[in-house]
Amino acid sequence: MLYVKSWYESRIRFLLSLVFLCGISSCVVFYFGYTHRHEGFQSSQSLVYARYIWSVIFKGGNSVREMFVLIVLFLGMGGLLRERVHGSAAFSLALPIPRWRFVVARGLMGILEVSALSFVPAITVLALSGTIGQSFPLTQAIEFAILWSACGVAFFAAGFLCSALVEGEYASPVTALIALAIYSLALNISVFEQYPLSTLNIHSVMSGEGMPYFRPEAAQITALPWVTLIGILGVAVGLLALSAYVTQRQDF
Amino acid sequence: MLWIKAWRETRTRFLLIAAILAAICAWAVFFPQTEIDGRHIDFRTTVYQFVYYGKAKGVFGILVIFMGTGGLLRERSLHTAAFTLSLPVSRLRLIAVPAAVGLAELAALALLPAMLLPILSILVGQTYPLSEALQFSILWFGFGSAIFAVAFFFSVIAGGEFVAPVATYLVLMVQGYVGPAIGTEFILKAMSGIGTVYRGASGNVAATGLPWASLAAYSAAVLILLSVSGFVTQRRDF
Repeated sequence: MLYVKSWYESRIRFLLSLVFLCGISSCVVFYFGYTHRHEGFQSSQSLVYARYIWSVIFKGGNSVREMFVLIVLFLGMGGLLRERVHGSAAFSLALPIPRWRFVVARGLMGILEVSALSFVPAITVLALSGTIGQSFPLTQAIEFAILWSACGVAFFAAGFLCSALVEGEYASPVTALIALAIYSLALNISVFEQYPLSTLNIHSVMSGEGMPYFRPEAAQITALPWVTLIGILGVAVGLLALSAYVTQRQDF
Repeated sequence: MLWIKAWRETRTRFLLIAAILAAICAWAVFFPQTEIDGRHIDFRTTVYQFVYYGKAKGVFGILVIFMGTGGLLRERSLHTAAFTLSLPVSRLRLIAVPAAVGLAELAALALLPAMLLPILSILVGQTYPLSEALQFSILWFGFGSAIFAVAFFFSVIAGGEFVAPVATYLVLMVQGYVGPAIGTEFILKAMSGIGTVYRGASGNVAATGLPWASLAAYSAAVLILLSVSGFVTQRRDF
């Protein structure tokens, strides 16, 4: 029942995001086809296409990846604090279920939704590349989707924690976005340069930019950084556990 | 009283956004980036890159969405709409006052870097021209008010808590892709003012001055969206 409740609460956001990611990824693919339709086939065109897809969808800087991060933060919003504002928290809390199970149900549903969304651009590119006479490697698409999935869960967990901590109309998404901005700013601080910054920069882990497992000349991932991904997932689980702890101690 | 109500409903968001904008401005001044791609850049360029072209503009552009959300539909889901509607004021005023407060807050946020940057620059022995900062404030307010109006409109027609901000964000991103194809610049890019009020790091762009025609067109669109929002609210059954 809690899972159905979590799904009902987030399905509009999820479906809107799904349609948007699918639509924008389709536009990216067709735009390439539109701009290259008068050119004859070139042997290097598949490489050009792979780099184009990486730079517009997977990289960063007004790319689909940044939109995905913001969407994922929105998916993390909700919870008992929000229900209190709506006057429905008392009904939820009256159910014979411990509070942590609310958090687990919302967390798991959110992780599933984030994972599903992370595959949307990859699947769209794979499905539509053929229609414009191009191809994108299946393994690359899946690897980027896995990177997005793991890192997306971390951003989701951060948004989730903000919604457990901050009350007020739209205060939690604003706080989450500000936290994201501060995190992105902190990555530019020269003080951190002496540390292994690459493992702290989830944006770079997602895009592969500047990472040892990424070949920029071919826009290709050579191997997935499983240890880094497990570490990021560990951070996400920690944030969700912190959210559960905060929710347990809150007075409704 | 409606003014105080609108302020209290939005002040947390407003103060949070003001705080992060102030922090980014301070960061740009006290920890300036001295080179980009191995090329030395002066103080004015580093401030532009960080505040008006980069982080602060992005934060402002995205968070402005939340300044426009709220309204009677949100109040209905919070069960306070009946109290608000029982006040002896017209629905038009119930819509006009939050819109005016939101635009005033938007103007304050747009002016914040212009107030901070010249003052903070003096503290580090540098200067940043107030006239240039004010031109960027006009751009931020002019184009930012369009984002605000879209969010305001969506919060009048859609009741879900996150539908309005998500829909506005999607419209903004779609405009980024579709706009240049139909001859209008991406709104977030227009806010950075390159080619209009800023000449680029090496002065390689011919600045044309504030884009008054674009600003007037966007202002007209804002007025239309806010008017439609008022019309929809007047006809809605709560």
